[in-house]
Amino acid sequence: MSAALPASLLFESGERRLATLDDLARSLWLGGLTNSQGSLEPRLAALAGLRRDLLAGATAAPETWPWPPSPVARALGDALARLDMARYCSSKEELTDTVLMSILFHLDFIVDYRDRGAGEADALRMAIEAFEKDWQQHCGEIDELVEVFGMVPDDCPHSRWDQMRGLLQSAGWQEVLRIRRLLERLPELSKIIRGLGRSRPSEEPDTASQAIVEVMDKAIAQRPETRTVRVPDMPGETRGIHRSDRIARMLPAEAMLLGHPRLRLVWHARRAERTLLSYEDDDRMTEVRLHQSLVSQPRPGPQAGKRLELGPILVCVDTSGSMQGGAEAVAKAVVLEAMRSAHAQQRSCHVFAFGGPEELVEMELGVDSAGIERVTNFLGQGFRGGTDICGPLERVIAKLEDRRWQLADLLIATDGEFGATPEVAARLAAVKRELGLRVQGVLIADRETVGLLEVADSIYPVRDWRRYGGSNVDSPIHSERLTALYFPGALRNAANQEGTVSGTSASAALRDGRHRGDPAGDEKGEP
Amino acid sequence: MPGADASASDFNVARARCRQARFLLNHFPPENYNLTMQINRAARLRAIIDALELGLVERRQSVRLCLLAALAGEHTLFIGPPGTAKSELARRLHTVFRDARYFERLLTRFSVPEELFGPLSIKALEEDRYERHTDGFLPDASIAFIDEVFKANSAILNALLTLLNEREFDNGAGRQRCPLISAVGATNVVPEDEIAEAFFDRFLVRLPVAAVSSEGFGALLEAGRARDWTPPGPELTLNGDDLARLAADAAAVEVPADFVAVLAELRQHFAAVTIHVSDRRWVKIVWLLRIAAASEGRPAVALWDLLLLPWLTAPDAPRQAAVADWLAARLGVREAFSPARLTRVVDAFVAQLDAELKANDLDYDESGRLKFSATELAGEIGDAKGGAAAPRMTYSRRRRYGDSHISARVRQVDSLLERIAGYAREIARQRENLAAYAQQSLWLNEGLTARAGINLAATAAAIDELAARASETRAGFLALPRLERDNGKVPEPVAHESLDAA
Repeated sequence: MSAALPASLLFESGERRLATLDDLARSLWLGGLTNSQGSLEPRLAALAGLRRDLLAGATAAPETWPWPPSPVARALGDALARLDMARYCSSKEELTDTVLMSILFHLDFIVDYRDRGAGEADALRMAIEAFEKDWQQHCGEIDELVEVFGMVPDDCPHSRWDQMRGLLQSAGWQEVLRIRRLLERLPELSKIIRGLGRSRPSEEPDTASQAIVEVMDKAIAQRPETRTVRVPDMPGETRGIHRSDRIARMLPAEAMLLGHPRLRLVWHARRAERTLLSYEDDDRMTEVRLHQSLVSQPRPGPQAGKRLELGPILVCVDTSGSMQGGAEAVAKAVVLEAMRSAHAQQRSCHVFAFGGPEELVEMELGVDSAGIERVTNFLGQGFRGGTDICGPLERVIAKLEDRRWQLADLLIATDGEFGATPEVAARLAAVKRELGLRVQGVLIADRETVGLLEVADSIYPVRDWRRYGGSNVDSPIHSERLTALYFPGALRNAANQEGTVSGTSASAALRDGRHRGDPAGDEKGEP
Repeated sequence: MPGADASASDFNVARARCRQARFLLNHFPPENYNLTMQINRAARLRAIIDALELGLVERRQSVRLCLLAALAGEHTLFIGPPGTAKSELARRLHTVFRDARYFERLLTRFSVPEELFGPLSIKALEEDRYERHTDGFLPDASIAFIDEVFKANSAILNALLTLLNEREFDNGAGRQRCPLISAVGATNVVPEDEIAEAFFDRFLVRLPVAAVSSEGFGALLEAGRARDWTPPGPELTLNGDDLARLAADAAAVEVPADFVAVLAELRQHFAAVTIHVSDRRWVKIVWLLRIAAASEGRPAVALWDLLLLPWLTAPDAPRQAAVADWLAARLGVREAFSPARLTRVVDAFVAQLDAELKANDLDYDESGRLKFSATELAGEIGDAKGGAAAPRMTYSRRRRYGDSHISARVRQVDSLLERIAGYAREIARQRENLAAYAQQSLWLNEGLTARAGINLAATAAAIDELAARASETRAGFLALPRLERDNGKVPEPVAHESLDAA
C-alpha cells in the first residue's frame, strides 16, 4: 500500500510549465534559471533540446531553437558547428552539461560587455569568441588525452580542467606523448600486458546483467483452515423424516388434515406441539478460520549474476642507473601500457619503482586527474638508482596477503641485474603456490639473469631495446635454455635445491669421512 | 475523528436549529415549496444531523455518512468491535424518516428465513397459497438494521442480496415491492469467501468504527444521558416527497470534467494498489456525491467532495487512510508545501545575487571576463606566496555592474514575481473555495476541512515568503555596486609645484 503519493493538483499548471527543469542536471539550474537572455520557459526547453541533440551527436538548426533570440542563436550554432562540439559530446553526459553551462555562462556576459561600452553586435561577437576560444583549447586537450589513454579520463578534464591544462603543457607530458608513440612500435608488449589477469566471480551483484528468475520471498499468509459444521433445517439434503413445526417441509399427509373441517384442529394442535411430520433437512457448512503462518512466496524478480572481478595489476619497475637510455624508455612504456589496460579492464594499477635499498616509490595510477599527474611526473624523471628487488618484492608479498589484493598480477620490468635473497625467493614461491600469483617479467637487457629467472614465471624479452634509446645495435640474447646449458647448477629449481648441501653439513660429512650417496640420509640436505 | 462533540452547548445549538427550521417552515408555506425547499433543506438536514449526533462521542463522520447513504438510497456497513454504538446509530437513523418502519435483527449461523422475512401464512395455506406473512418483517421495513450480517448462512444471504439490490422480495407466486430506504449492517470482521464478497460490495458506505480515543473518554462517560435522547421533531423528519425532490435535484447536478479526471486517476491508482472497485460501485459513488451536492444546494459536484471517497472505496481502515492520504496529496492539502520548481527558481536568483555580490575583480581576466571554472579555485590558485589566503582589498576590487546587466536581471526577477503572483492567485482562489465549501458542507467532518484549510494557509504563507524573497532579491540586484559612469569630462589637471623649482 505504500504507493507513491501523487503530485498536488494545486499549482499543477504552473509547475508543469517548469517541468523541463527536472530533466536538466543540477549544475545547469543556476545558469539556466537566471540567465539574462530571453525568458524562462523557452530557455529551459532550448537547453533540454540542445542537451538531447548533443548527446545524440547532432545539432538542430539554430532557427528552430526556442532560445536564445535569433541573432545569438545563429552565432552560437555556427560556433558549435565550427568546434564540431556534437562529436565530442556524443553520449557523454558530463561533458555535455559542462558545454551547456559554458554556453549559459558566456551568453550571460553579453550584457556586461555592453555595460563596458561594446555595441550590441560587438558584445555578441565577444561572448561567442570567448566561448569558442575556451572550447578550442579544451577540445584539443580532449583529443590529446584520448590519444594517450584511449579514452577521456574518468573525472577530468571537465570538472578540473584548469589543473589539467597546466599539466598538459609540462615537459613531463611531452615525455608521456613520446612514450605513447613508442608503444605503437611494441605491439607484442601491449598484447602481453593486456593478457595479464585472473578473474573470479565476485561477491558483488552485477547490475549490468540481470536475469529474471523466480525469487522466493518470505511472507506471512493468512492460511485458511476449514471445518464442517452441521446446520439443522438448512435447505441442503433431506436426511429423513422427523417431527417439527416447519410448515414449509411438512409431509402432504399432514396437509390433508387442513382440508377437513374438524381435523383442521388436529393440525393446529400438532403444529403447536411441533409434532408435524416433516422432512428432515440439514446441510453441512464449511466454516473458514484464518491462521497466520509463514510461507515462501515465489515472485519473478531480477537476480543479479556475480560480477567477474579482476585483481589489480602490480608493476615493479627497475629504476636503476643501469636502465638509462633505451631500457628506461621501454620500462616507462610498460608502466603507461599497464595503466591504460588496467583502466580499460576496470582494475586498479599500482606501480612500485625500485632503485636502491631505500629507494622505493609506490604509486597508484588511475586514469583520473591525480593519476595522470603522477604518471606525468614519473615518466618525466630519469632513472638513476641502484637495484634492490627484495624491497619491492617484500612489499608486494605483504600486499598480496591483504584480501583485496589476492587476485593481483605482478609485472616486473627490469634489466635483470639484481638477485633476490633466498628468503624472499622462498616467500614468493610460497605465495605463487598458495595464491596462484603469476609473475610476468619484461626483460630489457641483452641477456637473462639468474635473479629474474628465479622470480618470474615467464619472461618477455625486449631484444631491440637499444633502438628506443640512443644506439641502434641489435644484440643476441641468452635464453633460459642457454643458461640451463651453460650453468645448470645456477638455477634455483627444486632439483638443484635438493642436490645442494649446505656448508656446515658438508664439513660435518667430511669430518665423518662420508661421501655423496652414502646411506646416512639424515645428514644430507639443509640442516 | 477529532474532538469530543457532546456537551451542554451542543444541546442548545441543536435546539436553536430546530427552532430555526420550524420558523422557516411556517413562513414559507408549501405552495412555493420549490424555492423554500432549496433554502431550508440544508438547514433542516443540519438540524437533523445535530440531533442525531447528540450524546454520541466521536461518531460525527459516521452519523453523517450513514444519513447521506440513506438519502441516496444506499446501504451502510459498520465494521467494528462490539460496544461501539453501531446499533445506536442505526436506531437513530430511522427516526429521521417520517412513518419509517424499522426492523432490527441479530443474525446467527442458525437463523432461518422466517426470522427475517416472516412466517408462512397459515390462512393463505388453507387457501392453497404458499406465502409469507411479511408484515413487520424486513420486506416491510424502511430502515433495517441487521447485526452480524456475515454470520448468516448462505440461504439468507442470497435472499438478502436481491432485497438490498432490487428492493423486491419473492413472496409465493408474486414479487413484492419493499419500501426499504436503507439497510444498515454491522459486523465485527469481514470474511473472505465469495458470497460474503458479493454481499460486502452491496454496502456502498463502509465505516470502520473504533472505540473512543483516550481524549474522548471523559466526554463518553459524561454523555451517559444518551438514554434520554429524543428523536428529531416531526417538523424536521423527511417523507417520501422530500426524498423524491432531492433525487430530482441530484439528477440535475453537474459533474465537472476535472472531477472526472481525478476519479479516473484514482481508478488507475486503485489498479496499482489492488483495491477493487466495481463499475457499479463507481456509478453509485457519483450518485451519492450528487445527492451530497444537491442536499447542500450546490449546482455541481466539488473537488472537495472527493474527501468523502475513502469510505466509499477502500474496504478497511488502513486502506481507507491510504486513500485519504492519496486524495489529500492530490488536492494539495495533505501538508503545507512550497511548490518545488518555483522554489528552485527563487533559490537560483538568491544564489546568483549572492555570487554577484561576492564577485571580485581578481576573478576576472584582463578583458573583463570571469575566469570560467566549474570548481572553486580561489583556494588553490594564488600567487604562490599564500596570497589566496590573505585578505583581499575587498572594497576596491569589488566587481561592479552596469545598467544593462542590472536591468536584465531585474527583468528576469520581475517575470518571476509575476509567476509567483499567479501561484498566489491560485492558492487564494483555492482557499476561498474551501472556505465556502466548509461553510455549507453537511457531510464532511469539520476536522477534515479545518485541517485542509490550515495546510492551505501554510502553503499560501510559503508562497508569500517566496514572493518576499524574490522582491528582496530584486532590491538586491538594484543595489549592486555600479560601474562608475564616464561623465565625458576631462579631469582638471592636478595642480602641483613646478618641478623645476626643485
